[in-house]
Amino acid sequence: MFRNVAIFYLAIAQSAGLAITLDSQDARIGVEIDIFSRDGVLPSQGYQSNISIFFQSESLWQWNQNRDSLSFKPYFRVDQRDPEKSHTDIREFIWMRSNRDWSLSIGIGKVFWGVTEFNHLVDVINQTDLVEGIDGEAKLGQPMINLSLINHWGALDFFVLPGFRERTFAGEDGRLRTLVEIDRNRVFYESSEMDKHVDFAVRWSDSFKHFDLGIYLFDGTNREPSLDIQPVLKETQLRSFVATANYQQMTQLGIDFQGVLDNWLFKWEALSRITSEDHFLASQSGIEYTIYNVKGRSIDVGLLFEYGWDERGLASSSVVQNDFFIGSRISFNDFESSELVMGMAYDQDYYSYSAFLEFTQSASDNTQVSLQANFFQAKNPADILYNIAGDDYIKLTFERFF
Amino acid sequence: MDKVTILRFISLIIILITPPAMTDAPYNKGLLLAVESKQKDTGWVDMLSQVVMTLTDNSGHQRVRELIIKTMEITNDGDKSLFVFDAPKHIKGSALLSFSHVSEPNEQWLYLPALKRVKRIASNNKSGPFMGSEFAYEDLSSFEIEKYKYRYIEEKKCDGGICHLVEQTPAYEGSGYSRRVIWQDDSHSRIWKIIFYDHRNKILKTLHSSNFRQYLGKYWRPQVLTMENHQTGKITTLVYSNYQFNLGLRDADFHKNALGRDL
Repeated sequence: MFRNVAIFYLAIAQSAGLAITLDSQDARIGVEIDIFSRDGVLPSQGYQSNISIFFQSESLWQWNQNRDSLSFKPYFRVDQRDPEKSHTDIREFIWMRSNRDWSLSIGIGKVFWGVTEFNHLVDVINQTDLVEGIDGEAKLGQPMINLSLINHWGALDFFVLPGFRERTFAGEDGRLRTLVEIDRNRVFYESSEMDKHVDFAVRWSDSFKHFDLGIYLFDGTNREPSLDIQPVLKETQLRSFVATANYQQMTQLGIDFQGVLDNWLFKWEALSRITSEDHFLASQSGIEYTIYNVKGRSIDVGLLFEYGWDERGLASSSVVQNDFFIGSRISFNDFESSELVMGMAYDQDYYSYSAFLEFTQSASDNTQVSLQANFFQAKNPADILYNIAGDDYIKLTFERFF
Repeated sequence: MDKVTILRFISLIIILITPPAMTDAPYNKGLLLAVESKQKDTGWVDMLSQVVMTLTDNSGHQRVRELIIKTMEITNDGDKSLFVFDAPKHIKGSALLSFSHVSEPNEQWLYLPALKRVKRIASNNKSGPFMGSEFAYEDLSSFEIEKYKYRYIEEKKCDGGICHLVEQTPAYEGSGYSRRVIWQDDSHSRIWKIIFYDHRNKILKTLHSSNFRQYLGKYWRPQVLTMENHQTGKITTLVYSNYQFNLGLRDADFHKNALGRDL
């Protein structure tokens, strides 16, 4: 279907007598090796290693003196153990007409909002591709129409979002999953339009000498489902439990602020979410202090401290509700663009913690290697982190660019 | 009066109306030369250039990066610049947006294409290296008179004929240098060489400029910049090509929300 749409786009442009050129064509292929510290707690997780291969290509066409562009980014992953992790997605397939003071984008795209590092609280447009990683940084492509106006009063973005993407979850054989299996065949929506509901968002943002500010209003399907535990019955006998994803409608006001003073960054994200069942506030606040050019050796060291809060407290659907985070980002500014990022999260309600470390280096112009380690400690079954407490792992990634 | 005389006359007026704290002598030839150089390089409005950046370490290994630099001239303040990387692939699409200021900290944003994320950078990073090169952020920000204190040293022969050697001491906070010595030619105020000294007053780096070309019949631009770090032995070379002027760039082209739009 996507191929047909591409041909359609190009046909329109060509019929207008315009020269279309494939401006760039890039691809990356990666191999990931996971090594877990022990077998998983469930019978289906009796393994300690896993191999996963991913591929992404990026094509960009431009015409009309580069005022029109079409970007196409398909993504594929094949996983050794988990069929749910093996998946395909169109990360981007979007036409953009750019002008000085405005741009219009139509297609499948990605948008990021936010300023904090440990939790992306206000980022709301794209669904999380959770099987890609528990940090939630990978996102699924979102169908959208986006009009963006840039003027002396800042930038104003309007979004119409037709169609909803379900969150991806690790399957029965996967690690880093909920202990109760998620039933993918039963998904519930509050809206009768299900995943055809059209969402809207409007955002204003601008940058000033000492700070950046953004405010948005979103109305539509909550990207974050509530997971409801359902009994599985066989001839009126209780056999087991499954979890079902339930997507509610919400209206959300979000704000992100970032202040700058010398070596300090002050970050604040906050939201107010209204659903038919709930109305609550949540925030993620942080400071970052950067020491540049440490001892004249060109190394930059950033120190991070953040606090995440959710008014719902223990009833929160988020793993972050009363959590402290500390971390550091070290950029070596060397040939290999080496970077070391590490962090630790501590949950003050459940006394649980998690820690991670990630080292990335480009071995040559076309290759990149990274080593990632994650550790979890959680003892309370009510804590969301408890689900993955037995999944301490090291991940090695080799990427090659074409 | 010929052009140079007019410029010198304007320079003199500027010196006379500048607050006295800025001039440490009634007649400061170093400052006069800086004003002259700035005057000659005013009015180009905006420009774009393609740059090949070659990093060489002390054992001769090399890495090549390609970028496009867009700059918009801002009168009475530092310029607005946008650096967009095109190669190698692992940094392709990364961009740095920078508003340099005369008396206030610079404003800077980094665009990370994989996450489609714009990150603000702490403003006190002037001495930090630019993308792993031997150029610090302060070396790439625009030259403004108020940024330095000046002391004239002497006249010497250079590639541009006769050069004036002027010591410039940073008047802004957070510089990685105690001072720098510039070689400015007498005929066109082109800077052929800059020697940088660290805070222990030891020689740190030397910047050589060469292959100057004149644009719009007025503005001289070097095609090759070579920065050598004497303490580490590393060298960064910037080769400029396809200089373009008067593109009609505006503030909206330098808005952080425009980051990630294709050039």
